[in-house]
Amino acid sequence: MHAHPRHMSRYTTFTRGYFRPKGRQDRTVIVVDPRRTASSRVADYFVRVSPHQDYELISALRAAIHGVEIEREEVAGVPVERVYELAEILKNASFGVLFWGMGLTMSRGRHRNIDNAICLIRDLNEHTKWVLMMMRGHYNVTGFNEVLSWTTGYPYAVDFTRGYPRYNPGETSTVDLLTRGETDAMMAIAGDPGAHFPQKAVERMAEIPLICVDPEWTPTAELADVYVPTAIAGIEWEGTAYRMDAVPIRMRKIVDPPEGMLNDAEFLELVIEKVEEM
Amino acid sequence: MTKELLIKNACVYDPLNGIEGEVMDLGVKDGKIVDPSEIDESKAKVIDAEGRLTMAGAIDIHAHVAGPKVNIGRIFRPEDSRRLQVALKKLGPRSGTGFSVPSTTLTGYMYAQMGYTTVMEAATPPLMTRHTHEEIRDTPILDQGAYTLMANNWILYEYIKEGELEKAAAFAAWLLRATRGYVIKMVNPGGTEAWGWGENVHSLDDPVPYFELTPAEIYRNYAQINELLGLPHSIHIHPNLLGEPGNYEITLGSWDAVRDAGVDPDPQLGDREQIVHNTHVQFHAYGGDSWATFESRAEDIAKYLNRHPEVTVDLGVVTLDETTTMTADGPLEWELHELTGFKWANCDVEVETGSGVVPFIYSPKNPVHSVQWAIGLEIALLTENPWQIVISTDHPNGGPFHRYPRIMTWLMSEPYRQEWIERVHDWVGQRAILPTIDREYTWTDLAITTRAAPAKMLGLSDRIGHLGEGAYAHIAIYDIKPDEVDPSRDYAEVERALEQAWLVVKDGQIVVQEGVVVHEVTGRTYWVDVKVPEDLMEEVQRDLETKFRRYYSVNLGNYQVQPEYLPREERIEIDARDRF
Ligand SMILES: [Zn+2]
Repeated sequence: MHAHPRHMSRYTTFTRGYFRPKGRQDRTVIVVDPRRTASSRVADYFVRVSPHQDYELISALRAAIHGVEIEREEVAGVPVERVYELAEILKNASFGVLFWGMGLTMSRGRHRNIDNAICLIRDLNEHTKWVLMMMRGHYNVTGFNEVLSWTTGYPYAVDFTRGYPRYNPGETSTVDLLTRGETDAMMAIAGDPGAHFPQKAVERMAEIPLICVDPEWTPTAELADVYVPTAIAGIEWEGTAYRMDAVPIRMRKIVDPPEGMLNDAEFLELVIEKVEEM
Repeated sequence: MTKELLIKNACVYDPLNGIEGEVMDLGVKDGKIVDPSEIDESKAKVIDAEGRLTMAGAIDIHAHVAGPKVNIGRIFRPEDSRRLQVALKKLGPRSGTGFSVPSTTLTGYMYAQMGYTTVMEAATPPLMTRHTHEEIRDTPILDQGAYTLMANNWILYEYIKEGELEKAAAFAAWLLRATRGYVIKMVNPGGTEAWGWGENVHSLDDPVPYFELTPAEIYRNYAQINELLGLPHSIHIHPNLLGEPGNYEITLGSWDAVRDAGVDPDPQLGDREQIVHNTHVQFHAYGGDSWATFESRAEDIAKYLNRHPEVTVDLGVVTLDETTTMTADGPLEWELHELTGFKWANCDVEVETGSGVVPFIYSPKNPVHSVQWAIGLEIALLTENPWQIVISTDHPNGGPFHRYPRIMTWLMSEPYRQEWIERVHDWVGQRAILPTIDREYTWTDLAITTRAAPAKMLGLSDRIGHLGEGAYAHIAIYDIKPDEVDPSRDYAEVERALEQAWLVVKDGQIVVQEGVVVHEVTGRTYWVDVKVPEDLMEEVQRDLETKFRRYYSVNLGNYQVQPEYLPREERIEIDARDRF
């Protein structure tokens, strides 16, 4: 509810739908979290999972869905009867969505948690309709993945040094390149790696020439040798942003940018022009 | 920029103008074909084709090349991108990747390399169509159009249920305009909506949950809507139960249901003869009642086509490759996932449609896959009139589009087919009749099934698919001389020549030379803008305001694709006001 303030009201929980005319009353919300949160307070069921035990809970749910007996009193801090009860609710939904956030990928198990969650959804589809959706942040990060995928074939971490796009996360992602010290210059556009990257990567950023292109003054801008302010897309400039469910939205311009302020595309075109002159 | 071009001594196959292998000159001026006498040789670029095979730019009537589900394929299959990596300046100025789901640049390059200049994107979910147009915009060279998915749309269902056919037609026109779409596309009518509940429909009389319409009723109504609006193309259908043993019956039943609508082809542009186009017909031509009894029913399909010129098809040939399946047929992709255990992506699109994506490995050792391979070719060879046929793989579902030259060569050479029959599973001799068919496509058959027929079916034969005066100067010349080769015997040479055009002209510009892209042009985006009676549209507009507020997650005002997304639109204006 805090990370995605419009999510419950506009898209999933309180909103009325064709087959859910009464909105909230026609829906069942289960929140799984190690702590009580604003979201858990509006849920029908709150499941307090022990920290770092998401994988175990997902596995137990899968076992229960398959009708396998779980020979334990509790799993991941959740009593086994509760696991069976939840499994029944999931199986009897008419259309279920599992939303998951960073908590799942950043705790123990990391991407394996998602792997298991995908298997859970797969299993549930043998009974009814279920899908899974990632709760993404950072404005238009989905749009970035989409555009990079149709232009290069890969969603991120694309390396062009061989003359064709290459993708090998762990080798070609920004953090890896920085921490290995392979990068000797960096341009950050509309992102704030200075605030979010691991310390070793940020240290490397401080050593090398760094250009920051961003409407806002950020920690990355603070580190940068050159800072280029740009117009804000969706306020001072029009464009397309992809919602986290990949629906592309037209962003309109509402006010003029300060005089002389370029947008990202205009700035990059000028850079390309200069590069081609060289 | 080349303004004038004179191509001398081209061996031309141009069925729409009745030209069969005549060695002649072609003039090109301002992007169009002109009489060679109009060209000033001193100013023009002159090319001597020396008797090489020359046809209009080819047309793909059905391929999944741009939009959300294609990109899901790219995102969740990095292994596919790794299979084909093309560096800068190898095939053209830019780089790209992807074997079955190529990046946009590579898609444009590889089609152009084969002499294709028009490629229709087969399925766009209306709400996400901005994405489709963004990819089309980033695909070089090709003219394109997007087929708007409509067969599982709640608003259309409601109008039809209420008996408001005219309102339904006005809404379909609105939706084509909102999405800048070209065709009323129908995928698994009722089934994709049922998949919202984890279900499917299993017969033409199986009602859709809640809406209580049957697939047969949906076909009848949509066919009527299509002809009421006078659209250049007919309804474009992917029937129920794709890929299931025994499905040929529901396929033929679907064609009957469309014929029951009692409509004649009535386009305001072009002169198509069909009232229904069944895409990737190979996937809908199966007999048996299980995989164990699976068999070809190509003969039944072809027999029907031979009796009914009002039905046309594209083939959807299986090329026996590893590929990526993708379709708005959500329940089908779930079944494929269950069958193969391969990874599965699903997308439900509020109020409108859905889709799924699953990788697939077709193997010549697999009995079912081998029979599937045979069926696509059988339908092409058993259907007497090539004007009812278009070559396709339903890219990438039956195989990637860059295998088209191989399909063309299979059709032109019985010995080449025999060579493959020996490599595939024995079932082809038992459950199919391909080994007994000796028909071979002629160059004219090839020109019809890749150029003239799709142009006519799409209603665009006034401008593409031929080389007559006034046509867009889309020309493909291949490094082969029809009077010196026998395709039946020299199949290897034919396949090689068709893979890499010697010269491709698009809009009067030379874009490919000896198989390499030398120049990029911006493609057109075709779309249909239909005018319906104003008072009717106002009523529909009022309904939409309520429906959007209640059921959509975006506002009505934000739904329509803005003109900025189509840098070179070709709007087909249809005035249907006095047809209501
Ligand atoms: Zn298709």
